[in-house]
This record gives sequence, structure tokens and C-alpha cells, in this order.
Amino acid sequence: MKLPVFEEIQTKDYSIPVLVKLLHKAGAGKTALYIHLSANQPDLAHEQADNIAQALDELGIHPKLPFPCYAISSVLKHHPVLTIIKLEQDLPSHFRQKTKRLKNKEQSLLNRVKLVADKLTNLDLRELDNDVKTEMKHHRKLYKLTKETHFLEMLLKSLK
Amino acid sequence: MAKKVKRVATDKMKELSGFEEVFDLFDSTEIKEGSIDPRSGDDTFQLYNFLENENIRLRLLDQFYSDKVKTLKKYPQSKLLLEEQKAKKELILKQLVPKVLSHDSAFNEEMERLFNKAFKPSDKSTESDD
Repeated sequence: MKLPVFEEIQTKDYSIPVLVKLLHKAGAGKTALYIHLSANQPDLAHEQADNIAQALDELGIHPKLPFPCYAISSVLKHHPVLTIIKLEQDLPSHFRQKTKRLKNKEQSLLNRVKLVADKLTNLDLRELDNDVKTEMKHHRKLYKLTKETHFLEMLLKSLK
Repeated sequence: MAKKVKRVATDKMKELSGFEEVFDLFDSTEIKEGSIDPRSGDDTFQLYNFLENENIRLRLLDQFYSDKVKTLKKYPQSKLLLEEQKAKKELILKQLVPKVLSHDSAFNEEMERLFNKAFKPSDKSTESDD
């Protein structure tokens, strides 16, 4: 396994079949990736990001787990699936590492990383993500309701 | 006694420039510019540290998705807690509403005071009207 450091995907064609090939070649899901969106208009950039998301979907890879895939665009502010970043310098420094020949200890650690990454990939991450989102919605409702109840409780106490 | 020579990379050597005299105080080691021998063990452990952090990150993610989320799915609590809170809120409202609605309630008294303060004709205007 390669070190899970940043790999850049360079392309001028943002069609889904080309992206699927490029993502597969770059080792999507096994390493952190970033791709520059060439579009200068938000609509076109959104379309390109949509294509990347769909290509990842076709490969059965989660866009953030176990390793993230970033899209770099100065015009697109947000995308529901991909993480959008304005500049290349804003990419997390965690995955910026100089690669070199690994020592024995590093190799054994890398093997362990691979094992846990594979374990994560084998989970149904999309379904689990949906479960987490549903739970989050419930928690927000619960927070609102508890806040309201507490206010009413205090009001009742002060009126007694 | 022969001094122990420590090799330092060029960019590191630049950072250390100006401190040569201080290093002379330590007799045992001499610092020289030059490439670091990979076998010497004089490494920054940057890659090792990265892999260790990566291992921890992935293990925590795995723990979250394979243990915590699955347990949450198996034994959901949010809906029950929501129902409990709703019942509690209704009970409080049942106690609170009659108290606010009664004629001599603190709320009505306060409203009356505010109303009188805002709409009661002032003494001057009454005098002029007379």
C-alpha cells in the first residue's frame, strides 16, 4: 500500500467515465485526493463537483471516508457531497508528507493503517451516515424542546 | 577525548547560524553541515508520527461507525426522550395557562399596569380639556 498522502487528480475533461478512470487510477478510497475545478462560474463548477461525486458513487467510495477527497474552486462555496476548498494552500497539512522509503516500524504501522482503512471501507458508510443524520435531527428537536420546557418550568416557578 | 560529530541538513544549519559559540560550550558534540545518514537514527520521525496519527484517526472512526452508531441504531433513545419531553411540556402548560388566564393573575395585572400607563390621560391634558 502507498502512503495515504495527498494525490492530485489532473484533468481537463470532467465527464463521469473519465473521472471514474482517473479516480480509480489515483487510488480513491486508499489515499487522500484533491482535484481543481476548472469552471469559472458557480453553476458549471457545481456541475463538475456533481460529476466527481457521481464518479465516486459509481466506484462505491465514500467522499470523506476513510480518506477525504477535496475539490478546489474559488467560485463554488458549498457542495452537499464534496468538501470544497478555496485554495490549494488551505488543504489540511496532515496529509502533506514527503514520501520516502519506509523503515520497518513505519511499514508495520502502514500495514495497520491499511487494515483499519479496509475495515472502514467494508462498512456500509452511506447508510450509517444517514443514521447519524437522522439522529442529529432528533437531537436538535430534543434540544429545542428541552429549552422550551425549561423556560416554561422557570415561568411556572416564578408565578407560584 | 574526540568530539562526537553531529550532521545537520543545510536548511537546519541556516537556522542554527549565530549559535556556534553556544554549541562550543558543549564539548561532547560538534555540529557540522552535511547530509543526514539515514541509518544514524537521526530522523525527525515525521512520517512515523503521521502514520501513528493516521492509525489513531482511523481507529476512532471505526469505533464510532462500527460500535457507537450501530448501538444507537439498535437501541434508539431520541424518540422516547422526545415523547417524554412533550408530555412534560404539556403538563406544565396545563398548570401554567389557568394561572395566566385568571383575572387577578400577575400577567393580567402587569398588562393592566402597562395599559394604564400608556393610555391613561395625563393631568395636564385633563385640565386643558376642562
